Amino acid sequence: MPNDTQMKLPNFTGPVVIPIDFSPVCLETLKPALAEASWPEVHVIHVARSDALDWEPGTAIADAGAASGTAAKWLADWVPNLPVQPAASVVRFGDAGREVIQYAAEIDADAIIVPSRGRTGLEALRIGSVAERIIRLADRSVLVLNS
Amino acid sequence: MLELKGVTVVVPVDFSEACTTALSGPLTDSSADNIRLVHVVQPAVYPAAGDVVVAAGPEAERMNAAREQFERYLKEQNWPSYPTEVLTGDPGTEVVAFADRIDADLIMVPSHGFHGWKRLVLGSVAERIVRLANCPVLVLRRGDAE
Repeated sequence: MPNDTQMKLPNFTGPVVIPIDFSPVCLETLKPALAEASWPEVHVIHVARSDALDWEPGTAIADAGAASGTAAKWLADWVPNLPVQPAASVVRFGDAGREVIQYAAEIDADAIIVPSRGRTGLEALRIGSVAERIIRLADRSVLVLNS
Repeated sequence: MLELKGVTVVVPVDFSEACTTALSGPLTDSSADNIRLVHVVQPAVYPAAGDVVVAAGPEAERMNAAREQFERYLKEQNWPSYPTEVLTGDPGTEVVAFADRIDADLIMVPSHGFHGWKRLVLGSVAERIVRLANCPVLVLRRGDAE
């Protein structure tokens, strides 16, 4: 998409969920989109991979509270970079695709908005694996921003 | 709720029931004022490099048939009147190329939203568009219209 033209994005009157991964490309994609769009209720979500999945009997369980605190701090530091302050910033643990879809259902979001390329996608493929999973599995509309 | 006022939107249409269901809500309730409906006719034969394409006639006939089908289809829908376009080629590539040509803000793709094989088969065009597009893509669910 040429940057010299003003982009016009669809508006959603209800809540929207935006999964973020703290990558620079994710921020670069979101900044102009959030500046242009009229999305009155933006929920930013970061899904951290849960180490609890690697837990084995007899070993100490990793401090879930501390991990959650670290992720929350990352989010608190990152969110002010956005041109619009979200209604909520949320940290979840587990499978990124599933957690994002689950959260969108909880708040009955109008749409999930994915910056198409993030940390996990091959640049050449132009679309991240998490984004692809969300598009495939979501039970509501998905807006793919395509940086 | 989705609002599309002032947004130039390309919407691929395949005349299927699932496509119609997914599009009805967004096309009627979104204050959309700049929609282009596109139907892509898949060529009967893809010429390989070096092949000589002899008869262009059948292709033109199929395009005309598609235009007529498009007209009939739109008459059955209770949608506002939008300009239409019939193209030929690979649906994903052609829809993206058309969006580039008219400098569209958005491609809105009806996803069929079925589980299992139907989704895998029918959703392949949607996935191709998401991959190839140079503008944002809105993948709609059937649920939007219900």
